[in-house]
Amino acid sequence: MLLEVKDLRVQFHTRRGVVKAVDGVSFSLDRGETLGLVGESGSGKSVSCMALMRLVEAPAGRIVGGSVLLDGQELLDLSEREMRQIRGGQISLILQDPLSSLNPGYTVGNQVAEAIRIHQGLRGRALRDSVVEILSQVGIPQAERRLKQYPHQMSGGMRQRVAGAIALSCRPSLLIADEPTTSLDATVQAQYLRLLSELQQEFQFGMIFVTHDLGIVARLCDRVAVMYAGRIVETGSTRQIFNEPAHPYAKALLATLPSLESRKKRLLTVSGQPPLAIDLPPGCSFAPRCPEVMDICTEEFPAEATTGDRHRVLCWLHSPSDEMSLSAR
Amino acid sequence: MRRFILARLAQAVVSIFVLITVLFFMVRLTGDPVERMIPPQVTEEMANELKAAYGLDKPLLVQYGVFLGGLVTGDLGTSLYFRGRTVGELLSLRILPSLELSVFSMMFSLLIALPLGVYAAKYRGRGSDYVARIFSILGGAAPSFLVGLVMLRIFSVQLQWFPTGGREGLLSVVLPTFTLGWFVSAGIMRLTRSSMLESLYGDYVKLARIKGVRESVVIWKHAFKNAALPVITYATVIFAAVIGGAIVTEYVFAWPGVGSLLIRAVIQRDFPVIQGAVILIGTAFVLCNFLADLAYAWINPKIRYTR
Repeated sequence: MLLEVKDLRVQFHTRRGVVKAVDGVSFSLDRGETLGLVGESGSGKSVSCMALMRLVEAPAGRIVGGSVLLDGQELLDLSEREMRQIRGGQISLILQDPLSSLNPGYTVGNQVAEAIRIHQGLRGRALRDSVVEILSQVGIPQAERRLKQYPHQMSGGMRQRVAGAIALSCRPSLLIADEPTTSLDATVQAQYLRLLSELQQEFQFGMIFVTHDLGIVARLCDRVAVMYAGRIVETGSTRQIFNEPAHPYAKALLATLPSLESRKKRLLTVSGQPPLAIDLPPGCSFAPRCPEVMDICTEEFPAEATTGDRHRVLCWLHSPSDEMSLSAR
Repeated sequence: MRRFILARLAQAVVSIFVLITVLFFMVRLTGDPVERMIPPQVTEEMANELKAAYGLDKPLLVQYGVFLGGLVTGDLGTSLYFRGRTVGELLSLRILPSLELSVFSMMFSLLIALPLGVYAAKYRGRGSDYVARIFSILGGAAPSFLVGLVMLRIFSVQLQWFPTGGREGLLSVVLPTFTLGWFVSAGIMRLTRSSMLESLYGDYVKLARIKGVRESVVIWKHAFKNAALPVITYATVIFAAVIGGAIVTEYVFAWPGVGSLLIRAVIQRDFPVIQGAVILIGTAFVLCNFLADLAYAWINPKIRYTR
């Protein structure tokens, strides 16, 4: 197992109270596998990802518990210095907006070179060759000539490729992509996703792909984790989640996918607002919006129900003792 | 880049010309300098002779033409108050002290304000942030004459570490530098802090951390370079203002600079000296702005290539 996250908890201390942004998240990931992390804005996807790299904004934000094992090594116990070796070396992250994530004041070559210099200690000619190589690998034409260009001289798609090059320059074993295609055109988006898959085939890194685009999930991901209010409420293979979603929130999300048959009807939405993660109610956080809510849902938090091969759900509709309940519904 | 420089240079020349023209006519709105030069019992005839001697009897436009003609040949005229001394001569004695004081104060304030602003932003809301902000508020709010007098009282009169005034030796520079530098550093520090706060929360800073870059490099290489842009512009403009505008500080420490010459000239309606001093200060101002633009373009590649 490449990555094992157990009961990860991140809190933010604000004036209005403690926000439990990530509240007991557990999942695992194999080498070469892609996990789609889906959920509404504010559900804790991005914070979870930053927490894996131990980059939660201090002093307000803190990882308060849990375990993150990468290749069997506990990341939460490492010193800051050791952690810097992991960041950009073993774990990389591609941010959402290629426009703002590249530094406007330095050339593209300089910015790609920085990670390689830090983690592989290359200098001079070897460093330059290495930069050109990775830029070509992410499909940037005439990479040699691009080294001296600044981010603003490139298109959005090219810039996101540069961000990809930075992330992959040190051959990480885990790549986190935080909605990397949201700001790209549809065609550029498709190219970029294909590129990511190809690179994953080649380098065999595990990938966590954060998105709220279920279409991308269906195409790209092996498994899916659905997040709601700081928790993963359902996780399973992409096929399981799409064909037999168990949690009412997952069902609602899937129902929002437009299809040709539903063209004439109104676009579906998940009604209501996601809760603020301050002072969450004792029961299930989705209960106020849930179409299938029962009495117990507002009183107690549901225990995890497991069914079949790595398909797990947090919902009273599926009690942990009743193994058959999932397929029955 | 060359077109950029030429365009800026042309703008600078136009600015100076406008300044000179406005200045010439405005100075003459303040009243008649001859009234100040002669005792009341002098006859009108003699006063008119004096006016004629200085060319003040001619129509304004003719005076303006003569003035411009002089400027072209580098002749700023003769002082009305310091009889027989040319404006160029008077100014040349004052430029060096003024430059000296402004360069020292600028260096002092940058050395203090930049690190203070950067770390105040980095540790926002904590102890060092408050200390830095109090330092800056005091520097900006306390009038220079007060700071200057307190400095004089403590360090010159009681401790006798520094001379009380004048410009003799390196020691005499210390107190005026501190007084002026503290005032200047307040604005620079505040601007650095707010500019850093913005860039510290930028995505490219996040990306630098994600790459595993050391925190000090994240701050100085990635965040500071982008945060420095407005600070450079501001500091350059302030520097220009300090060259000619350190009037109060120069006065308190009897510093023989352009500022103290200008204030005396204004009181005496010494038109040529006022004109000369303001042209000097204004030119320094425009020149500094020009340099700020160049520095800005040099640091920010976006400007370099799009204009």
